[in-house]
Amino acid sequence: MKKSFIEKLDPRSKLFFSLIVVILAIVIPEIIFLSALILVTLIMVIIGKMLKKWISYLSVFKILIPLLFFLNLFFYAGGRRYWGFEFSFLELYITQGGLIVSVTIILRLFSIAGVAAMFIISTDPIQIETALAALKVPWKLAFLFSLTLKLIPEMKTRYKKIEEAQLSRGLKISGGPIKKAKKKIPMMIPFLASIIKYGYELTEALEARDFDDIRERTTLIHLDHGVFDYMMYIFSISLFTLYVYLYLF
Amino acid sequence: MQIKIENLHFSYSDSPTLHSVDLSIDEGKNYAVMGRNGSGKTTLLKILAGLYKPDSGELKVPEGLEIGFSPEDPELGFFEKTVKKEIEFYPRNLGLDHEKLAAETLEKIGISGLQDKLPTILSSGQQRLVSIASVLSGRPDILLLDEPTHSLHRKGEKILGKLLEKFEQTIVFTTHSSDFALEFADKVIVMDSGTVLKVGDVRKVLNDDRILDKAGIRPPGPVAWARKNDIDIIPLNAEGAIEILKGGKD
Repeated sequence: MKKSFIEKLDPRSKLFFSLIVVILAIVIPEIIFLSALILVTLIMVIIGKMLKKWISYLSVFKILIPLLFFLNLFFYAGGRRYWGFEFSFLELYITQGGLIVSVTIILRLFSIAGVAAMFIISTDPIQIETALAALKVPWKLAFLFSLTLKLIPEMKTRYKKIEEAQLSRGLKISGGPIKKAKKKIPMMIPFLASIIKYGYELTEALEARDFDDIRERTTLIHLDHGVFDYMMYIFSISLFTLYVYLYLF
Repeated sequence: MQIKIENLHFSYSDSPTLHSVDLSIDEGKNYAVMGRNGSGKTTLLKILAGLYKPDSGELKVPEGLEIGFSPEDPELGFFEKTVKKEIEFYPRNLGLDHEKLAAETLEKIGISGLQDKLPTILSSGQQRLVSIASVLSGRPDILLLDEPTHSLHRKGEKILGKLLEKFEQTIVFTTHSSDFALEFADKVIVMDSGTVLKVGDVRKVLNDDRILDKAGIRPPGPVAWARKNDIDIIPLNAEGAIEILKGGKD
């Protein structure tokens, strides 16, 4: 399959951009700034033709986002009161401060998770490993990182296969949350067993290929910066400078 | 006719996995689904099992028809402490007399001796039988088996095939073994690049070089033998070949 423009970029330039976005999202807690960061990431995702996958990666937050929003909305008070609820000792208010904090937290989460998802989707784990090693990160740590990334789709596939096996034997997941959790036992037991087995198999495979060999490693993956990578660095630095300037002055 | 598929399309992502699929599954017949890796065999089975919904087209399944599916990796579904409990799982979910049905199924498959064993420690051949038993115990009208001959030696294939012949259900199985398909299927569904290339009598289809070449299927041993010896009737197996040589009928 033909690689998109974002996929073709050197992982180091994408990592640099991602780190800049993460730093800005943490340091600058302004709704307008965070929204712009999400917009920049979204444009890159659209250019990279990975919108569908990006949305599916971010869909894991569909429970966390409303939870975070409502908790902060009611439990953080400050400024003008919009709506209130009082019952015995319980006093809940929606305030201007609570609303701003809730939206800021959600946008911050989205901007960090969004850029991380873009980086992971558009970069092959083995390229990430090579890029980290090129940045002088100890190879074993880099390998561990790429292995963890590879494990996520593997776990997803295994869980899906187990789910299919049980659903085709008449298992129906319905009812309340406790009932649903109980019904998932036939899925969780084989899933955990399968992951433990996978861990053992992986260890054996690594040991069989001299994982502990102390000699310096070479790699078949060749990383090289192109014109677009330098443009990415310039864009990231410009973005950082602009944000800091606008925020401070 | 039990199931009818008309102009079915399905995709996992942007590229189509199945397209323009037309197919009829007749009652009581054994169907072998064959084709290269990635040709859409397993996806077709999962659609028949109701695990995936088609993007477009029609899948006509009569109301109340129970369809059982045994996956390619049988051990992935095992979670109970004993084989017997594993086999009781399906009928229990359907609200049937699970103890009676499990005992009958153990007897039918011939694995009563394994009933108190932990399913995950069994050999791959035994696990395959337990997986089939755990689906058969729900008394499905159609039995779907994904790669039942995977990791089985020739003798194991024979035992499995003889067992399948005993079942009264309609069976649809995927396989790469053309010998197994010839001996134990009535019809063969040949898949190529996500669509059905040919459906027909197993002896006719597996003797058609044009179809076999296109779908990357190796001609079965009996077909090669019959061609070499210039014999018109294709035997189903070695015993059939001996019968032909003796002058009898296969």
